[in-house]
Amino acid sequence: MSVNRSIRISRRSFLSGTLLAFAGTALAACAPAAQPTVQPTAATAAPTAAAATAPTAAPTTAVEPTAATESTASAAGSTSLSPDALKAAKGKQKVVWWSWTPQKNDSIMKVLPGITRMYPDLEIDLERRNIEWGQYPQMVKTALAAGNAPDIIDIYEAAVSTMDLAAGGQLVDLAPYLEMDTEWKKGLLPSALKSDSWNGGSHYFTLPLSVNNVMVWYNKSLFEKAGVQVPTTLDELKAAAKALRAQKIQPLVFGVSDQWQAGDMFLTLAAQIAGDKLRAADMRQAKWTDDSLVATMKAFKDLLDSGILADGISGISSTDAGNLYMAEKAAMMLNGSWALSGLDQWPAGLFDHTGVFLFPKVKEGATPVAVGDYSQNGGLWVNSKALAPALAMYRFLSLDKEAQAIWLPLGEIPVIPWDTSTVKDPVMKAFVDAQPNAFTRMIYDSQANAALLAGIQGLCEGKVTPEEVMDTTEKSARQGELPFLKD
Amino acid sequence: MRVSDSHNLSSQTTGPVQADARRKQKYDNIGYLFILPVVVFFCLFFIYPLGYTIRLSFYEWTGFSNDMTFVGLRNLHDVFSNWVFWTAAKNTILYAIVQTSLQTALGLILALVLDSRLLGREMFKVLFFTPVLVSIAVVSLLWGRIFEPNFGLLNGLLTKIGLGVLARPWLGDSQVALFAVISVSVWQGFGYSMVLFLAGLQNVLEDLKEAAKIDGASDLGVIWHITLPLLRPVIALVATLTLIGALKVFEIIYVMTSGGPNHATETISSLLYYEAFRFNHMGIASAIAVVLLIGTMAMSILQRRVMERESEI
Amino acid sequence: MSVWNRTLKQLPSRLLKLVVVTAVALICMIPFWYMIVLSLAKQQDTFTVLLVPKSLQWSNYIVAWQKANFTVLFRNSFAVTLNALVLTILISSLAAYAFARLNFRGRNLIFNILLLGIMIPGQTVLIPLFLTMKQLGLLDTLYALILAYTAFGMISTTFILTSFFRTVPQELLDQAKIDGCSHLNIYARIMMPLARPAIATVGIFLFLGNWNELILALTLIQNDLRKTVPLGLITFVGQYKIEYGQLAAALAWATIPVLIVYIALQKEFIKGLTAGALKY
Repeated sequence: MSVNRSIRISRRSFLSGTLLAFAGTALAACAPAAQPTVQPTAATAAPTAAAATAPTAAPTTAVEPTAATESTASAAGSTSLSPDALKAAKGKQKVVWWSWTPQKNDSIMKVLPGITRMYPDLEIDLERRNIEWGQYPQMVKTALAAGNAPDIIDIYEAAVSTMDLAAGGQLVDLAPYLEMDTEWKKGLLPSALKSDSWNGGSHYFTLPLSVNNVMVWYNKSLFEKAGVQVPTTLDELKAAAKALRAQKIQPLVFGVSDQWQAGDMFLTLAAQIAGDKLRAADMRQAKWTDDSLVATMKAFKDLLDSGILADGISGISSTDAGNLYMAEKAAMMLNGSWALSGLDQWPAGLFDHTGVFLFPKVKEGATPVAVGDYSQNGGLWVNSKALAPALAMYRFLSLDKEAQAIWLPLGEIPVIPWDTSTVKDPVMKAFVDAQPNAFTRMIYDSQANAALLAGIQGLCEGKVTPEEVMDTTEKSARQGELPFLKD
Repeated sequence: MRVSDSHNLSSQTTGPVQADARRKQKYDNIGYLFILPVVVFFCLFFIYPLGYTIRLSFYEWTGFSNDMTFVGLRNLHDVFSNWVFWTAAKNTILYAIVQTSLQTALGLILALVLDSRLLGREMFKVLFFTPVLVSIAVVSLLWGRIFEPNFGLLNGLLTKIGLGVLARPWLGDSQVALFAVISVSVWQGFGYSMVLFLAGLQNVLEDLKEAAKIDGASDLGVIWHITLPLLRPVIALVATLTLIGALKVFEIIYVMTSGGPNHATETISSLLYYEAFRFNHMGIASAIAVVLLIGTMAMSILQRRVMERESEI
Repeated sequence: MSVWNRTLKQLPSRLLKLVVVTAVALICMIPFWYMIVLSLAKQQDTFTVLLVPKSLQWSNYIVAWQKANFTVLFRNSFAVTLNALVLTILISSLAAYAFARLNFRGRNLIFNILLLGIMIPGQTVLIPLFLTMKQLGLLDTLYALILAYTAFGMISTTFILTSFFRTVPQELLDQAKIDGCSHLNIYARIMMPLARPAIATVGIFLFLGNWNELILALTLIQNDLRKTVPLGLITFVGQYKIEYGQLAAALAWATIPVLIVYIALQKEFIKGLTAGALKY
């Protein structure tokens, strides 16, 4: 067989191919690159805002004019948004809402018809689409790029960052609206509202529907079997781990391979060890290599080295972790109150001997707290065709007593004042009691967050040191001015 | 998918007389009409997007904002100075080489075995091809479950037969994860290579083999001296195709490991994806795409050259 | 050497071959068996079951079908796969005929450039593709997938068919031309019927590729009602709490159609490969 008859990309065709590619480039240059949005000035206004608020800013324009520019920039979004505009929305209106939380669909759908209590002539035809968590960021971003986004976009900072979206002019700044709608502003619990405020309350890109937090769940029977009490200090936790392992029980488990629960663990430690430094580093007012943050990562390593964490944790996903706990192979899991919404999946009787406790004290003088913050948090898309109905729906879900009552059974906590004594279940009660002091569960710099979480994976494998993780995080963190600053 | 050759159909060589003859040759211009649909699709789905990506690689863009800032070569600089990129590059090349070698070798060996007299030959052919039929989504989900450290099949079986010491978090151990993914990919793909080799083997004349056997050659000798040399072009082709596919690997990484743990299974394609959709760095993602494209072309041209030289009979 | 002696001598190697082949076959099949075992398991059993079924909960299949909405998924997948397949074969065979048997300026050049298209990875063109579809107003429709799949399948199909058409003897075509057939006639009446085995081959490849495609579907389709099977599987995972029994059943459902098509067309497929689709 003659072998010369194989693929020979002749130089001529290669050159032609390259030329064609450049022709394509030229063609592409003619086509509109980005979809024109309603806020042509939002993106340029953002850097000015950053300059105005960053402490080391050079000649700053006064905050007021900038805010005004922002308001006019979002004018198309917000002048059509006023309490009157919301009241003017009538009839059957279609609203599209994207999220990754399927378990909430039924409850929301069930309570939605009650919107007539707040807006008598309004009926919402809601399409609440749930996209698997792994695909959610991509779907949202391609939709935004194509100008095809939903009216309400659920936010989770690690993947779909408020800062990025807002700076890109995709989210309506609801601050002007809230100025007009004092009833909503006052109706929310201050802690809930604070979780969504930026630049000291001058911007609100999302509003909360519910909050929750994360603590340590434990299996009372397994504790008994190993003769272990609920630990309140790190040493007690280490001893407990030893005792559990002696009974062939894994001590503490959470998901590392899909990263987010490992983040919760880090934040739990950071709440005690680093405190405000975390947010400072996040907002680029401090470095991730700060001593307190390195100390936090060292504390994480300590958990690994002292056998508190389950074997092979680097390969365990959050689902696996839950399964391990449910199979009663692990005595403790780090999980949030939302797990209460899935109790029907639990093996019979397991919940009866399940309890929760705050992660023990790891540092002298520190107060253990839960990590938590907003749970259900959505932003309004700037190019939505259903701005008023969408916001009206959101307002209803946020303020109406019955609408807010759906959250407790789902393992989440309402954002309006409510009677905490109605909670009888001790587990839920623990979460409710921990909520007011919960440490914010988000890192808003998505790049730093990604590096941090990947680094923790390496740490769990023993491949990198705590210093290296924080170093990489600092290198990956956003450079330059941030468009908005989280309080 | 397979690719065939592109030899010039006009076998005349250049020269004044022949050139003249060529000029006088009648052109079937209706050919343009025949190729028009394909060309239109090609421009729409390849040329334009490719050009767009190349252009985008010189800009900074989040993908949804109105701001597209020209940054020139800064994206490339950022890409090359990012340690994650080099990790991904290393992983990609390692993956490509190991996966291609394993899949090609396995496919070849099995094709040779199935080409000879064997009990249940046809049944085995069908069986080996079954993994190819299955969607990457199914494969990744299924094997993800098999590799699961606490409840999965693999560790469960190992423990049952007493090899529990080998049990480990297959996808969570950065030393093993990439090879775990490679093995899944080979599991899925070897049937495809095998079928291609089987087809190629059909063309190896039986007479040649019989003649060699009568002359006293053993079975293995026949294979080594007759079959394999004749099969060289097919091997080259299959290897090239597999390599190109392996360099582009994305879906299996995305579904099984998301590039983890700590970038141990990150490939250029997955990095591209995460830069675009997790960090909104469309410009950088495009730059990576261009690098990937150039790398793929270079690798496959190189590989072809090497195989060509070796198989000059 | 007597036949008996020869057979005896070959026995060890034959046995070895059989062992090797059986081992590989087991590795091939065990994951599928595991999938079936899981699909029949009750929820609590899914944590402990290995290769021996612990329960026979057939209801998993019903629940999986309903939850994942396979009726819609199959309908969409069939529509997209088959339409793209037909369109691809149509335009590719037209082009292949031209490349193989017609003579026009730039033919080789264009052919070689098409070849370069194989090397372009999907993610490279994802965003521009998405924007193109949007500009064409085809986003979130099955048409988008049909067109995209056609584009991505046509290159290799064109090559396979081109090389196949080249094996058709020139005399046949010359005879037809003398008889006064136009090129279109030659294409339709001579080339295509002859190409049936090759078309079966590319048909299988295209069916497989289109049916199992994931990333493009993920990007271009958002509406639940327009999802294809792989996309539906992935979202099924995120849609509900992962009950492994139902997930395995869903995986099984997703696999069955391709198996059926393969078994049905298997003979054609092998024939096509050997009949010179891969001629060098």
